[in-house]
Amino acid sequence: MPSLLDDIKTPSDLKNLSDQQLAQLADELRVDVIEAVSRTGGHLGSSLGVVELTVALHAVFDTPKDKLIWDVGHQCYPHKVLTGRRSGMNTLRQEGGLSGFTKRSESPYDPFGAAHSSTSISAAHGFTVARDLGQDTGDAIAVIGDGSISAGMAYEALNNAGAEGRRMFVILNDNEMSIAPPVGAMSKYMSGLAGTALAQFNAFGQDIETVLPGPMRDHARRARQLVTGAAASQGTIFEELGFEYIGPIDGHDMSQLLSVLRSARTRGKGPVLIHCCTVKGKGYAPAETSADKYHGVAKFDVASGAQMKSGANAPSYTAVFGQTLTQLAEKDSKIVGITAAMPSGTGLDLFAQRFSDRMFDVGIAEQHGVTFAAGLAASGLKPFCAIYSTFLQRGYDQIVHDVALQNLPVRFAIDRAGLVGADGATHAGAFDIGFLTALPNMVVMAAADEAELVHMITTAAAHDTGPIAFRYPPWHRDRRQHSARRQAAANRQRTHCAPGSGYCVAILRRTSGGGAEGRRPHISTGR
Amino acid sequence: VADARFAKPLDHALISNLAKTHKVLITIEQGAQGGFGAMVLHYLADTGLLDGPLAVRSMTLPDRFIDQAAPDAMYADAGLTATDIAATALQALKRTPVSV
Repeated sequence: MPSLLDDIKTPSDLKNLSDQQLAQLADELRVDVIEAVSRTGGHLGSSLGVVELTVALHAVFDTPKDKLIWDVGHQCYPHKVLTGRRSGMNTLRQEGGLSGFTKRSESPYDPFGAAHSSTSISAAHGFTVARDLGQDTGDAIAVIGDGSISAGMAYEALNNAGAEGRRMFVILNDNEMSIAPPVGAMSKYMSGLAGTALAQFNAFGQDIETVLPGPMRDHARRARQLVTGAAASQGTIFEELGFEYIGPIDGHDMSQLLSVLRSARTRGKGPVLIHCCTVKGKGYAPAETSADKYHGVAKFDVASGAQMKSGANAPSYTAVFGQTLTQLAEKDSKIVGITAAMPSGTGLDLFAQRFSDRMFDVGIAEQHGVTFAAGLAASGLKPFCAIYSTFLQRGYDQIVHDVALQNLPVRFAIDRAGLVGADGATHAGAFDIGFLTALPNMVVMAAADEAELVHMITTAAAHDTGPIAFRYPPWHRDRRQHSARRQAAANRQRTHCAPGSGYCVAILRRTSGGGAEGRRPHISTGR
Repeated sequence: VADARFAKPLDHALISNLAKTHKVLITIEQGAQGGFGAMVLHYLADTGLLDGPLAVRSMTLPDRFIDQAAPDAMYADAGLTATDIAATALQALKRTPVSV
């Protein structure tokens, strides 16, 4: 069969394809994405889950005039291939190459950049209001995952957009996975919706049901009643918030996707939410069967799925944190761990293996996670709130108002401090020293090496009179650079410690015998 | 090289001692402006330690966002490599830059 994908230069080329050809194109696109990511590494699982959805959205809507906004953006690889960036996919996440996320400066088809989660509905609402105020923009479509919708910001946006009642589209991409399996009541709620005997039939919003052929309409209505409950007055949470709810539908069935999206686009008057069930890693067996569905992968062999892990980038600080906290917790039953959907990324998975009842994954919900930790601290526990530097930004008022102002002993373990490599500017841990040192009551430390990190964790456990934070970088020290630094420093003075993640005071020339050389700061590190 | 470890509370005795016994003081951090270096500068300014002969330099991430690359390349882009630190030191000491 001739390749359809080779002829797709922009999404407008999709308008010439039949529905059957669009399904074929999706198959080709899936193979293309697998091959591309096998050479660069990246976020594979989430991209494979939205291949059909990506094709259908671009086929039905009129991008870039219509604004297609991918939440987080890590599922945008198929979107990049279809929007003129196929030839650049071999540069993904590399210096001078394509970003691993959507990025405004990269393409007119990326109307809004992302990388942190749960922002898409707010941004889509902005485009929607701008359209209604006369700006030259079409419909706004937000695609948000069931993991991302666990953050409060998504509900704030649904609440606001639902109340305003303007025409916009939200696609809930429900794959029952974020990075780790999603947690929380909302996730369970949506699983309930999706599991309500709808494998064969799609339920449509009442308005859209009326345009369907008779038999399908009956099925849809019956299915919808199953979803929304027997009582006619009872709707889904999305309907209660003012959205028209359509679904759940099969996100890998091209004809179903096309018919639902076309109906929604034709008939939608106010805010519409389309609940679309997908499988993370769909169509690639090694990804579908892996525990994390190949959320983020290194370069890999397509045939076997074997990843080429780089030993040099072993996250040893992360492991040191998890191991040390676990050891301390053996002796101190008040120590508890908190993560916002990153148990393995923070090393708290190690802690959870030993103390599952003292480990709390709050979902992608940093604001809640920080104030939850404040409540734990206020009742006398010793919470270690492990959140990456870049994500801690999301809980800043909670740090200021709930933790620092009340002088509550929350321990902030801040991984991924400093620059982080392939994830680029969106994930840089650049601001935590500034935003934390500005706060009264806060103690702020930075570990120069793994041994110092151990001392700082111990210090944090012992420091029970107020909040304390310690930051550390994503990789263990680059030995080559470290030795270069040592060489440079050796010409001048003895090196106490190389600058690791944090800060050092460098003294280049002594003017008198002050004796600073061998001194250490007086503050206890719990040694 | 002194490992500060704490950005807050600052070790005033250490910084004061370093400032009084050296010609040049450079702060280095893997973070944006307004962090550790700023804390040190506030302290030095408020205690009059900037009024004398001490040359102070503050090395931070630059005031712009840095796109993805290998970590070493990102820090080179940011001007925070060993070579950059040495060059800053030599410039502060008003000596000719040499390769490190």
